[in-house]
Amino acid sequence: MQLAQFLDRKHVILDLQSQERLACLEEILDRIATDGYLRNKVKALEELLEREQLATTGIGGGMAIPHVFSDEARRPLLIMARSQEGVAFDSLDDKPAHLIFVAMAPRKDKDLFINILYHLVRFLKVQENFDELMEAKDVAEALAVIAKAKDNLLSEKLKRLVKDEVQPYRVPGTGISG
Amino acid sequence: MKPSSKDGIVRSLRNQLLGFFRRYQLSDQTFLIIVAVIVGFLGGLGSIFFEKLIEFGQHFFFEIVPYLVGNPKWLIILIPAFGAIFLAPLIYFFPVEAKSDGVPATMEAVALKGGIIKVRTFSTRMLASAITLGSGGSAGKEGPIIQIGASIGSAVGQFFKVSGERMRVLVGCGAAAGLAAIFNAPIAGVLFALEVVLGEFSLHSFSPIVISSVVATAVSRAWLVEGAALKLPPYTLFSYWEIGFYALLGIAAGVISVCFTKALHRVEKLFHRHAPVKTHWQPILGGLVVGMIGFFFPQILGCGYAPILEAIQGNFVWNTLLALLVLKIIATAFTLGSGGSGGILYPCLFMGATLGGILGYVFNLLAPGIAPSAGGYALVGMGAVLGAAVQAPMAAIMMGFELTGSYAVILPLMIACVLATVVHRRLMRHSIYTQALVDRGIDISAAREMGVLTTLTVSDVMSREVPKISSSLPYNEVVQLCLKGQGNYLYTTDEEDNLEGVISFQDIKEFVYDDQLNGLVFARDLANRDVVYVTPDETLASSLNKFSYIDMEELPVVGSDDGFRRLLGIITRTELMKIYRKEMLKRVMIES
Repeated sequence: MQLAQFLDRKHVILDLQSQERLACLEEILDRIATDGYLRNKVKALEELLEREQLATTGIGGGMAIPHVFSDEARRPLLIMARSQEGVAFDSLDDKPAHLIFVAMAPRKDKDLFINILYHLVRFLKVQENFDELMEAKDVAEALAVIAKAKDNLLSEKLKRLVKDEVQPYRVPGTGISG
Repeated sequence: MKPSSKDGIVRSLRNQLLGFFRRYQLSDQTFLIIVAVIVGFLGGLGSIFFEKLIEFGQHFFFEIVPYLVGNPKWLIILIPAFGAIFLAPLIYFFPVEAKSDGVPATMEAVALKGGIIKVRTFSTRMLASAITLGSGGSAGKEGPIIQIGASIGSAVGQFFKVSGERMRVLVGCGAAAGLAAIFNAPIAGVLFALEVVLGEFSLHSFSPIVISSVVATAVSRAWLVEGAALKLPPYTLFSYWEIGFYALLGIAAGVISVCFTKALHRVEKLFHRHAPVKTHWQPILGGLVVGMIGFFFPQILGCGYAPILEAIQGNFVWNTLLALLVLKIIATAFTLGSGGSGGILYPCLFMGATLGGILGYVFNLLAPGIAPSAGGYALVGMGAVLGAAVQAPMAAIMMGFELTGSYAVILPLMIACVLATVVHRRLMRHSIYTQALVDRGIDISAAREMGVLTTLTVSDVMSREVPKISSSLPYNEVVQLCLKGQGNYLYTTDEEDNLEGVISFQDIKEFVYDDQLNGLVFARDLANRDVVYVTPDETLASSLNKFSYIDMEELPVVGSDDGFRRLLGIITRTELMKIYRKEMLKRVMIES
């Protein structure tokens, strides 16, 4: 199971307009389609904002990963948003965030979710990956970059836990199956 | 008296007494000892009353009734059966309390029911046993008085609303008081209560039981005619070579004890499966068998100590002794197996005395220089058969010692009792008491095992040092604590120290050496929220149960009484098992 499987093609926004931290989250949630992933977008946004109040998720290096455990999420999911201008995210290095990955998962998928975050950060910290994502011309290209992350997210223990719960499914637009 | 006003009196008496105890700020142990004095006193009175009741029964069945019908010689055949008619309504209405021996029921109450015994057990058992024994049934009065004493102890405990371990101790106090008073043997009473009734030796229960036993003995010595109990002649060991003969006696006693246990068991089954009449009429059939034996050998009737004394003094020839031994086994098996009410202690002593008498005669023939008299063997045989049948060698040794009052008896008694116990154990797994429980589907040792875990609570074994962290601790610090800490778990709490979740080192060890998640993830994100926890007053049995279905090495202890989940400590599987093993080891050492 790889990173790309959690990113639906409908969850990729390449032209984020907002330039402020909380407003951009609002815009992201507003612009994505929810089918099958989220129960209630408004509640999910509330929870994201609540988490953001505790501490910023702008980890520096031009990226931010707003995330929350939310039972509004039916399964672990990622939303990618790109802003060429950058969003003021109160990041650790005080620089604006260009790539914003919203991550959500139900509580029961805690271990898998931590793993997703871990691999996502590791993937984005590779400068080449980051640059390619910034340069991607369309959704398909962006997904293809993400698909380069080949690490299996399932450790032996997780495989046991997740096997029965998450059905493998074809990642739309990438040709990768889980 | 109306129930309400009666309840009112009981309540106000209890409140006054408890208020008195509180005013002087008595410790737990002092409270138990004072209550033990009460139990001992009542136990002593109970045994006097019981003794008188049996005497009245004997007077009624063996003097008044024969006088009324003109003293025919054959009447003795019918007397035990006639007595059993009176038993029928008791068994019909109270089948549990009136039948057979009271000791297994007491063991069961201690091991499984937290020492709670119904108050009516007292009167029912007393009446039923007085009828059986008074009408010549072949059984003892010791088993019933142990249960009667235990029910007094339990009633006093229920009056003071004590619970758990203290209730068991009071039941033990009552049992010891009953036996000590009727046998005039306080030490044996104590040891029997510890060895058989409670199944454990602990200092905590020792002192109250001793006190209770002493008080009961004093009460019975003050009121009962001195010498009513079995008084044996002093004893001297003639040659140290005799120890070898006593060892042989011990082995034989073990075999006899097994025969008796099996016979009782078989007859019980026979009545249970094939009896032509209903349960409450069955003692009449048993009584007929006993009556027919008693027609030829009246010595086997009832619970008098006279035949034992005669056997020790050598008044019987060897073939009479042999007949008495075999017939006593049969008569007792039929009395108790058919549903009569009585104990097995006295029959064991009887069998031991006759067996000892026979072997003493044989040894005297073989080596007259070494074994000059049979009396000593009869005496030691009593202890040996008793110790083997109830699997309580210590109580049996002390009983023999106390009944003779001479120290010289101790060596032969020790060797014979221990060998008899071992031989019995080799030949069959259960004592005569535990066999009775097994027949009813109760494994007393397993019950006692669970007993260990139900008497101890989580607060007894929990550790108050908890590795706890705030939920908002950042990832890196959580990892640092995990690496430094001793345990595998960290507990996350909110601002008010309430348990939120648990972080298992196992879950995060994969990315522990990377700091990718730093700034992104907090303790609360790593923690599992569905925490299985225990409360301080939960028993260890219930904790063990929780351990068995969750894959964790430790459980948090949470005080959840006030709606919060305040984290108080942790209990580890290792610690739980250590305590369990320690307690079990103590018990195994006692039983083997």
